[in-house]
Amino acid sequence: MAETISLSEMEVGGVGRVVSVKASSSMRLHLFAMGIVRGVRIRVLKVAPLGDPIEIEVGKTRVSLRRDEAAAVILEPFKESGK
Amino acid sequence: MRETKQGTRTVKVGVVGNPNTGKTTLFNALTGARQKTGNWPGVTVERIEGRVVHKDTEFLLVDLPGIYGLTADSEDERIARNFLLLEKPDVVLVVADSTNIERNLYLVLMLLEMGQRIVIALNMWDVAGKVGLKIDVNLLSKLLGVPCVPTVALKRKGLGELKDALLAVSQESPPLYESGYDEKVLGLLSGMAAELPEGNTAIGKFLASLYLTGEVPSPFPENRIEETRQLFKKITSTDPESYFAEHRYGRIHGIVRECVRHTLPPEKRFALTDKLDRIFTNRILGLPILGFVFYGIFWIIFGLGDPLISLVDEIFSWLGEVVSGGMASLGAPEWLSSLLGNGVIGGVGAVVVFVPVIILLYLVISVLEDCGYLARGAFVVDRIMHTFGLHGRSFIPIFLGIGCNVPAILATRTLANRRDRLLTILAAPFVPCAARLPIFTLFTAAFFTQHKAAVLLSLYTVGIAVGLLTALFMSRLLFSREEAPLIMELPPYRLPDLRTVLLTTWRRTFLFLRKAGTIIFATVILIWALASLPPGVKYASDQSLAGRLGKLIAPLLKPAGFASWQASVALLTGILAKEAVVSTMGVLYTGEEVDEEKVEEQLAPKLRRHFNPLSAFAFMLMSLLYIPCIAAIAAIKREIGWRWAALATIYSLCVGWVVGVLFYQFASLIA
Repeated sequence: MAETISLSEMEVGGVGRVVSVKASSSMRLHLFAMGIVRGVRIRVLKVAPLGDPIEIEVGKTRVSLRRDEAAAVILEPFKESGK
Repeated sequence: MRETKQGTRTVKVGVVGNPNTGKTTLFNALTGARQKTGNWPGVTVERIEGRVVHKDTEFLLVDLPGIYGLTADSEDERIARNFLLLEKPDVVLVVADSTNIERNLYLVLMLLEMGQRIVIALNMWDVAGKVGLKIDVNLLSKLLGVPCVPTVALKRKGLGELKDALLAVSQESPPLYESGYDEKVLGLLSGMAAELPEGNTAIGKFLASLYLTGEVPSPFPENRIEETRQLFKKITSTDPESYFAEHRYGRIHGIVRECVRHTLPPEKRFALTDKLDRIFTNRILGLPILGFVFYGIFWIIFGLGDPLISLVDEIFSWLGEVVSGGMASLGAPEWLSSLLGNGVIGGVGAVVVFVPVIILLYLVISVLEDCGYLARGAFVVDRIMHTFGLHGRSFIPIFLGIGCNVPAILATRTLANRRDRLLTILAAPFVPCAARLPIFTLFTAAFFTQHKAAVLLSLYTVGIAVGLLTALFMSRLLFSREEAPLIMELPPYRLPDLRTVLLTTWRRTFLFLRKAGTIIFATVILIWALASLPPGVKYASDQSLAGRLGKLIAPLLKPAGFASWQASVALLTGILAKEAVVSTMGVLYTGEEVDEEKVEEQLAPKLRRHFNPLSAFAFMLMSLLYIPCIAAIAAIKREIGWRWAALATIYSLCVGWVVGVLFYQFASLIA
């Protein structure tokens, strides 16, 4: 089993694949509807000026979410990073 | 399908889609200006319907809110779901963004599971071509079992084909969709569906899946759902939410892999957006730019709006004088000419006066929303607003409140989540609007000439602080456990469609006038009656009903240091509009109408006899906080209903009184 980290811990430019989404049922449904499901590739694009929220790339969309929401998304980081 | 008398058929079409797909633009392109606006039952989200005739068939199109899924905690998604389940459209038109069909298809698959007849508009087809996406439309239609039609709503392309497809689909039976779920999963769903009124049908099974995932409150007992979930986990070794979502996305990826080819690197779609975002959401520049944009909004709405407001104001007071003068010369009784001149025309004026500002507000907001900047602003500032239990987007209403609370309350429409919206609306009226400024300048001129700026600054600080703390307090009190998520899309920047912006602005302005206008008008008449009755009394004098009421209220204000009936009446008329406090004080303390330019020098000496600096400050605090003006109350009612309007009014009365009294009592102790 590869090492996993939560989306909130991932550095800007980091890329990973979603392994699980551990949040309350309604939060999960929100994340799912935005395309954040197991197996999807996520890249961290940016951190807001005040350190929270963060901006990520999911498939072909850009999504912003707060760090405590991102903490629910568990990723398996890829070795390659940046662009 | 419904047969009408003329023999033409009416086909009801629900228009759904993700936000930022150009759905409303397509809706407008299809229906033109033949639209009807109302509200969805029980909520104040606009419901827009339009009609269009194609061949021998009339389409009744209903524009549903932009949604990603069908969960219960989003008001927009609940509306869409109820429409689909209860109003049963003949066809559902899904507007999808061609440059991002993956996420858009998620909704399509849910609708297919529901057993709806569907047509998909692959909108922004031209953009997809530009960013190097090749979509095999025929194959996509075949794989989904649903006709897909490329469209460019902005350029009105593909509309004829779209209407043909809607017509054709409306005459067919609903597609039989094979979800491809595990046999045992389908068995569980069928078992549940059989107990529902819908029975073991597509819609019944789909509903069962929503109950199981908790997307919709379930009619089944809790332990039944829990048992089924356990069984589900045994079968699939995952929970229902993940199972359905992953299954749908799995299928979507399969379809997209077959139908979509990239001829350019996929980053192309965001090339411009990335460049712009390097500036707009930059770590250092982001906040200053937001400040600059807000300054611009403020300048447009109030800088351009204020001269128009004064103009409307002048026209109506001139009209009022002409009418009452004319009536008097015709020998009409004084009360009648005053009713028409001050009451009726004043009342209409009080409504019309907001029109310029509201039109400008809606224009600016819909441009910002449609071009994609609004989401960025929220992204940049969310950290601050979240501290007070608010959403990044709450910043705009709070900020606009400095100009006028009415557009501030109306601007909360950009908040999708009900919780965020309620909290922002409760906070907004405490932000000191421009109409309160005359009160502050009058009293600072009379009592605090040495410390003008400090006093003004402290009042603004108190107002904004009370607003933000109200949000924090209410978020704890009313929504103890829920946290509203921020999770939001940052759509690509786009040029807004002028036609859509104008139509939206017109529709919202009209709705405001219709809904809030009557309340404002009625209150103006009521206050006029209180100040002018019984017949023969001088306007707002101590003999009038208002004066008597003022005497009743006055003892309540004693702990704040000003127990005069004049001050009470002034606060009473302030319900109309905060600047009315000054003009009422002018009449009551000097016994005559006071010239606007001379109000300070004439009124200041009188005020010094009735107030001391401490009670003057207490009075300013109270008039800052005590009640939203009637237009703001009407706006609250228009947005979230009369219960919340009543709560906001009572709450602010309490806050105003408590803050005024606390200040006076403590300050007197120290002084």
